[in-house]
Amino acid sequence: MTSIRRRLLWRLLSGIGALLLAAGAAVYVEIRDEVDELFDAQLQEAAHAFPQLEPSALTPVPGRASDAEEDTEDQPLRGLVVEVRRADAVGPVYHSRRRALLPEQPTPGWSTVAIAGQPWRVFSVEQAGRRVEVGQPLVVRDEAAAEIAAQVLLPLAAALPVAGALIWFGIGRGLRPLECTAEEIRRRSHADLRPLPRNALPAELAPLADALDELMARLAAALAAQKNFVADAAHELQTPLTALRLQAQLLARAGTEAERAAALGELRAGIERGIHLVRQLLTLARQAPERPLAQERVDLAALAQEAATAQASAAAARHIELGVSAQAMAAVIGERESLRILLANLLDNALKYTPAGGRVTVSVAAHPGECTLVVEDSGAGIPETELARVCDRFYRIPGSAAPGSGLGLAIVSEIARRHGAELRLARSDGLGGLRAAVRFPRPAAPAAAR
Amino acid sequence: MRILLVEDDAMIGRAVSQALRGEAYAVDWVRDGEAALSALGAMPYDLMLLDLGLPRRDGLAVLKETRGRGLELPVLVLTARDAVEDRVAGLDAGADDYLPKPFDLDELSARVRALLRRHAGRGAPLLEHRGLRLDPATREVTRGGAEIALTAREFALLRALLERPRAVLSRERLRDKLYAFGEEVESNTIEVYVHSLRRKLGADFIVTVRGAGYRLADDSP
Repeated sequence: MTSIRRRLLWRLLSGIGALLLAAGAAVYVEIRDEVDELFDAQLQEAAHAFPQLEPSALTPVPGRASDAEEDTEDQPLRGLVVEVRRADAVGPVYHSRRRALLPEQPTPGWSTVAIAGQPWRVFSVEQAGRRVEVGQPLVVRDEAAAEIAAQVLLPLAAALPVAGALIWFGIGRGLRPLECTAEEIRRRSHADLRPLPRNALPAELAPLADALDELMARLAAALAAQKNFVADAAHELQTPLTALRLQAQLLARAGTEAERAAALGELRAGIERGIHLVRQLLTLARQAPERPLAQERVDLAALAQEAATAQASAAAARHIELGVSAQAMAAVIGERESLRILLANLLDNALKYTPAGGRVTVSVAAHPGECTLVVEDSGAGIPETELARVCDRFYRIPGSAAPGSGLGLAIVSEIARRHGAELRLARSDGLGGLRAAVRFPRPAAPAAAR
Repeated sequence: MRILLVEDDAMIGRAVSQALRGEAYAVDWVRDGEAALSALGAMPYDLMLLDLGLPRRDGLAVLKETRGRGLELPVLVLTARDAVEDRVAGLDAGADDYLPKPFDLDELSARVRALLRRHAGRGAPLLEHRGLRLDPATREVTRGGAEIALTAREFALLRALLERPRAVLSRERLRDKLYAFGEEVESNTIEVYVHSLRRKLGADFIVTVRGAGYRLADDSP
């Protein structure tokens, strides 16, 4: 896992380090110039100040202690080297070292020459028939400049670990609100989805807190919906259970055989209603949005035939004409079982609200890009004002006489939604009752369950 | 005793009205709030059983409207909304009692009797007059320990008279207390029941007030 603290520390330290190096280089260049001036002045002074002695009085002075040292090959020369020549002769009349080193025909004034592979700075001046040369290896100057630069920069470099420690603790301190927020979240119960407190939160963490708040708000809404559903479901179960209790008590009170038979009939109907409600609740729970949707190729036409066959006897018992007109090859991608339930619920509804002797038709049609499934009936239909609400869970049209769970159309609309299909309820022009149309996209895959 | 039952669920409505009819109450059952309010406007009820989750007009609204009209009949709220705040809201809106679903028929009957008793200003559960005792719970009528067998209508008529022993009740009022809407009523039906009650209880037990109706004879025989 990456650590903001460690990463920031390394970035800052390497940044500071690079800055120090750059500053060091600049200081070195500047000082090196100064050193040049200084040493040049020294060379010049030494050349002019060389005693005005007779050339004959000048003899090499070999065997000085420092010479033994200087002659070792790998030890470069440090100090000044002075050599004096006659203006008309080549050999030096004086050389400060055991051997003559400087050029025999020097350029008057300043020059930089290579001597034994090293650059030297040489100053040469003519005075009274002789030439005085003073030279010095440049490495001396380099070393002096480097030393001064180092003296300036070393204390700063030594401060680097201190800066590192300061950064380390500073970042730790800066991140403490994050830990506080984490602690605050850790302490919460699963039901505590209030927005995070912002008073101690730095501005940099606000986007994260905003995103968390938003997630928690969505979670709270989902939890509330779930809770409402459970409460609604429990509430809806009260009614059939109350009826069952009353019916059982009436059965116990029945005095005559006829009363007993009637009470038993009521009780059985009550039990059926309870079973139906529980089944519908389970069906709805299975259509939960988080459950993945199977992606089968389903022939709507065949499914419509199947559903109509399943309800044929119920329709016949009430003399309702149940017709199917299905176009072949009306295939959609989806979950066969869910689509079967959708059809069964639509048909069940149509049959329930259509008076005896009426008509119910199911039609399936394929168009380019979409498939439509339409169930129409000759019942009373749904008033315009109720159309928007009939798909709500547990909503029943006031005063509706037919028994029902109030979940049928909610299940239909949920299944349609999961298939990326559109459910549209309207008045049926042909039959006068309700027209429920479901438009499926085709053959593109249905919208993935979110 | 005539009871208005307001319940939108068919099964519960059927069961409750059947049970109450079995206890010699006249029960009118309506299934929405508007129907309840029009029934209350048309008929003097002795008690209302009110579900709260009603179509067209919510139960609480019906209750407020009822009290707003100055009707003082006892109201027993039957509902699946049984959170404390729902109960408080119901009682504050003018309900006399609260029975959460799923309820028991025996408890419902007992609460109905208690409400009717309290509303009549009585504390004792038994109705007594001139040595005659009527027990609304068991529907037994006794005199001197001997049980007097009555039909459901006779019982209902006697109970109506005993509830308000000094009042004169008109034939129409009595008929309203005995028959729910939709029940076949002969024009002289109350006279027939008064006659058979007099035969079983003694000719002077019920007094005819000419032009006004009937009342019980005075306390001392």
